[in-house]
Amino acid sequence: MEEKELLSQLISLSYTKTDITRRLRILREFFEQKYYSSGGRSLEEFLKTAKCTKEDSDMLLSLDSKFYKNFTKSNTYPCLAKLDRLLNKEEVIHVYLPYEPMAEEKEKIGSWFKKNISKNVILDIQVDSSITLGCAFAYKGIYHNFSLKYFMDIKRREISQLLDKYVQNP
Amino acid sequence: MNPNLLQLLIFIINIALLLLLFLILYYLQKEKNLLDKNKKAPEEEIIKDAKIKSETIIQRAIQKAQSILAAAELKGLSLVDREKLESKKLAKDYKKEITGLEKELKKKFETSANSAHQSYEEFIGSIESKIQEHLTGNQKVLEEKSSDFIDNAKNSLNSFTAVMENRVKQQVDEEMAKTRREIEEYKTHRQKIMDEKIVDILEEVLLLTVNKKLSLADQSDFIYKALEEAKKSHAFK
Repeated sequence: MEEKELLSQLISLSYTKTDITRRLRILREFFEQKYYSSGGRSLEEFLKTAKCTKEDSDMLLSLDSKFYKNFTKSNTYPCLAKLDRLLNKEEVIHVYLPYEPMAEEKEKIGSWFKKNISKNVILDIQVDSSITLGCAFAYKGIYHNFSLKYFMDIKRREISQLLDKYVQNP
Repeated sequence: MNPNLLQLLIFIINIALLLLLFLILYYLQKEKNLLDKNKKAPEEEIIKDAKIKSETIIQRAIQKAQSILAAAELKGLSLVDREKLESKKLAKDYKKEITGLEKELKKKFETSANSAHQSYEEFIGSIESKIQEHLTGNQKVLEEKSSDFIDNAKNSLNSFTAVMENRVKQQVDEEMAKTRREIEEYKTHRQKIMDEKIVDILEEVLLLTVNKKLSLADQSDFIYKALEEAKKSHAFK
């Protein structure tokens, strides 16, 4: 299986670049203990003791066995390095939220993107305190602001008319 | 005859007589010298005769000269007397004539003076009347011109005042209109700024008042609403 396909599988089951990077690290640790230490444990056993979230372990366990067969003792490091390089070349949607979402929230947002935009979309969720309600994102080099300001801009005329009405009839 | 001339004549006559005398004496001396020169003893009679003759001649000459002198003197005196008489007469006539002439001249002068005075008075009178006429005429003309000038000035001033009034009014109206326009522009500009900024102001107001009050669920809903709106507006194309 080519690295692109491997990465594609990882991306399809992950939402953010941070998650993918973290999971690649976990995979490295797994393969290191499997191939370069005595008594390599299975993935399940490894994940029980590894420093990872439930989501990470669930995701890694959901990967096909064919995925793991692509990593041998000789090609693990180069393969992972290439995956890292390919990941950096991937298009990332930078999403700016007014607050730091919980893991579940991130998952929901990620799911929305995978459902509505593309299953191979990679997100980079950041906090921007200047955004009031809603969100903003940068996609293909263009910044889009869909915060409260956007919605108020849409209703600008109605707001002005409303204010005029109050000014004329105080 | 002029007394000076008379005296001069007497003087000349005297000189002439003196010259004659000297001439005679010179000839006598010459004769004597000649006699002395040719002094030969035997002719003493001749010499004596000659001496006597010469003395006689001299005497005669002296008498003649004296008589001429006396006659001249007499003539001179008579001339002087005549002259004196004539000059007295002349002076008298002259004085008479002068007096007559004086009187005549005085008379003529008085007449001329009177006529000149009269003419002068007439002239003065005519000049006065002419001047008076001119003055009256000039005054009339001056009055007419003054009143015309005053009327013209009044009309000009009135028209100028009216023009200035209109101009000032026009300028004031223009300035007022300009000011009103500027005020309207300013109002519009401010309104525009307010309209542009009102959303930002409202956003900040909402941020201050609502943001903290909204639950995470509400905020989350808003995020999905925003994403849906982004999808609708083809932001992900």
